[in-house]
Amino acid sequence: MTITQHELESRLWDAANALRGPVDPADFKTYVFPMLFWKWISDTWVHEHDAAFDAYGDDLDDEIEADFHRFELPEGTLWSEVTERVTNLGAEIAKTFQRIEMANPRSLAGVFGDASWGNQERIPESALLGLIRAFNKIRLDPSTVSHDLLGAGYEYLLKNFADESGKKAGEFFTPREVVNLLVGILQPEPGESVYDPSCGSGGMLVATINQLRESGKDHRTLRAYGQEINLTTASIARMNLFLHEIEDFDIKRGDTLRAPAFKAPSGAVRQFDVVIANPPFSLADWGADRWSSDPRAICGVPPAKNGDYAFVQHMVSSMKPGSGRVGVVMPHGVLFRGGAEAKIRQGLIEKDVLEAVIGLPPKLFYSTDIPACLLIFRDQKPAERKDHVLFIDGSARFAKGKKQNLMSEDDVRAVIGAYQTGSDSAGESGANVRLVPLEEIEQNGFDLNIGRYIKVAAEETADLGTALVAYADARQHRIDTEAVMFERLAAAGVDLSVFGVSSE
Amino acid sequence: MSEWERVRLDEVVALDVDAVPVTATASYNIVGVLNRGRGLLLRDPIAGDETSYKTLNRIRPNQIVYSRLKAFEGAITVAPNNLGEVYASQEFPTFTCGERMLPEYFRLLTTTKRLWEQLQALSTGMGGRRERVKPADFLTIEVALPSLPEQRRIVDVMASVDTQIYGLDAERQKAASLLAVVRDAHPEGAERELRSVISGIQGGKSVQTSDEKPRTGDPAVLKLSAIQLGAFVGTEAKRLADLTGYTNAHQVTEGDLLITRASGSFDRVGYAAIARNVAPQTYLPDLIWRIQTKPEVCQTPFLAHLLCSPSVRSTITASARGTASMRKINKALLGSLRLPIPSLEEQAKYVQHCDAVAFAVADLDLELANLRAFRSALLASLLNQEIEIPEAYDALLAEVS
Repeated sequence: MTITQHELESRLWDAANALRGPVDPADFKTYVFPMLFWKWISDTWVHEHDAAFDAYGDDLDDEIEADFHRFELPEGTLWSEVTERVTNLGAEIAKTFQRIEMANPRSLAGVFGDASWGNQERIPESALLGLIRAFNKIRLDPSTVSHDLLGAGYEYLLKNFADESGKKAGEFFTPREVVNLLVGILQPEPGESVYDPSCGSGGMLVATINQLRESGKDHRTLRAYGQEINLTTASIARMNLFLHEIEDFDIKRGDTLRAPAFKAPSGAVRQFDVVIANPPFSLADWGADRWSSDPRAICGVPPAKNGDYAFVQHMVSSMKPGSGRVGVVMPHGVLFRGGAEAKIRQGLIEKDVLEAVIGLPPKLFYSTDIPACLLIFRDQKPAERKDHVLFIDGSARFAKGKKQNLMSEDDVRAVIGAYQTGSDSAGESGANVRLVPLEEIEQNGFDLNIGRYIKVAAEETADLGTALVAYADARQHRIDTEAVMFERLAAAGVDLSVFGVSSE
Repeated sequence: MSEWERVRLDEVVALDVDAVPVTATASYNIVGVLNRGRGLLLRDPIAGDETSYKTLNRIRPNQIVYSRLKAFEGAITVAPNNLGEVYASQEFPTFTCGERMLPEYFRLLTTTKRLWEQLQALSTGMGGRRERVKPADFLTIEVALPSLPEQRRIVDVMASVDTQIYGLDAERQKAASLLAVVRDAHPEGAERELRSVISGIQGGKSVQTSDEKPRTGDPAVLKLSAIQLGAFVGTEAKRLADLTGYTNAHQVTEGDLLITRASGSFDRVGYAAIARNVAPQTYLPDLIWRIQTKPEVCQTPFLAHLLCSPSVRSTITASARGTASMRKINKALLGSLRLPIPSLEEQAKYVQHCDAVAFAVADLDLELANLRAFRSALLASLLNQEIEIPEAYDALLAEVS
């Protein structure tokens, strides 16, 4: 008997709500996802066992049965076997997870994360029992719940957990419309490799696969790679990919900027067809001290207090020659900030790998009110875009939401269309687009602020984030012109010691 | 370095008027010249059949142009080198610089008081019927002429300062936009009529007076321009020779919330600001009111910011009455304005946010004013050879060329 998406979502949400009270909503994901995953592999195992028995009856032996199972569940680790125990339930669950991981070292090692199941301070047994009771009402084998449905249910929980935990959600959840937009722009193809160096819960990778699936292409040949610094989040990503029926993936845990996990035999970072990410914005203490000799610093070492251009350059370094393309979500500051970042920006522009700068609507993200932008890099830009950068102002394409704004499917399609055609198909109310020659960008001192090239629509809507970006850009510009003025005045012989500027 | 050669303008620039016959079916972009060397003013285009002029003067890039009628106010400039096709009437003669005078250098001269005074001296006459400055007279003006390399250096240094002024002004505008957004994010509260949270609105008094600036200690009456959007400019005042009719109630005191009740400009009516650093014996004119709040329900700084928020301002300007040339609000309309009045605690928080940005804007205003003053002083020092730019400076010029 199958279940509808709505039913599944409401049951999953009920299950999560069994934790409400003793557990902080921001921690729901730590407990709910491993339980969901366990319930799924457990119910699926029983389903596979029944299928094997139906096929072989009394002839069924362990060897034959193993062929029916995707994961091995040692005796005593099935959901029904464990959850009926009455004492030390948390500790029993922890032990079960350990046994399952050990029985499947290649596929499931570390997948359940490191939640402290036995710690009653963190998760009292009553809450755990509530969670189990709620999950008991949901059968998760393939005859009841398809991969698509389960994947969608997982996404639904991710989104709801993000809504609940607000700003804390930024690290593990990128709004799906932004993911869809990036994937729509980068257009991954079957057989290609896709890499997300700050993969969070794996949303970008899953969306890439979904897009192929929806367009009728063979998503199974796509290879997905991800690195994530947070252990729980990395586990959530792996479960996410499993639940979405993705076989060929590799999620590694670790610090991408200090210790990139994917390396080529030469020791350089491995290169991929599609590199996609929403890295943490303006990361302080990201490991600048090691970058002076790092080959990823292709255009310079970013400031120690801001890792934005470390992620950008890591991603550009990870872009395969020829087919490689990069899409990254960034704060607007990367478009105009001065100092070391200005030099890196100039270097990347002069290498002619930056293909497009796309402004997003304000308040799309959980972690910030500041509007973000997308930078699109391409190793081989199309002939008509060489020595140019495409600017798209998508800042007006949104519907106002209560906490966050939303981009509709039409909004996303319009921006993708603008990127593909390089023109504004939606007319005045749509995204504004302009292909700008490098000379003009050079005349603007390699400032990429969209407002310098397109009259930004959001200026009229006057939200705080947009006003702040415009102010920050003007301020940066003034600081730059001031430096030029000081140089001129000093050369003309004007004593600038009052500013603390040497006239030498 | 030697004293610069002095030349008459007719030695280095030549009258070069391109009079174009007006065609009825054509459209012409018309420009005027702003006073005090502030450049060209772009006006709305006119159609050929809308003008009685038979010919119009075409103004080309890098040409000197002045207004014969307003030359005495310094209405002279050099057209920018990226100028499109623009025209002015025959009242605007044009000149082309010869080889010895860089247009960019002469453009700097047009921003100096010295040149304005020379033009003023050439236009004698009375009041609005002043004689025009004739091109032949203009060309008799004497100027000091540095060598071309020296002109280039001066132009380059001044360009860096002008770019900085432009950049600072842009920053100030963006900070002001941010302030508008922050002011508009006022806390929600029960909507109340303004009259229920204030104890009174008092008007001032106006008398005929000359436009003389007051000296320190003189009684003075504020001009309308003393109240900008959220900013009090106490120096915008006129000397009051006679205090007859004024009482202590008309005096402006520190912390007063003032609002303009009328303005010739539609979008400036109802400007509100708190009076700060008020000079003694400063009086209110009749076009400015003082609003006294009931402090137990509404803090003055809160109301000041709220009245400056774009949403409240649009209500105020919409309720203004009068002619296009004089918009007015009345006390009844102002009193009936419905405003969100939150708790005093929330008011204080809102004021804190707004003040933080407002102070940044005020600082930028001050920096801009000081930078402009520095520009004048620097240009004067360069033109009177107090500062002589060394030849080594040309290394910077080589970099940019």
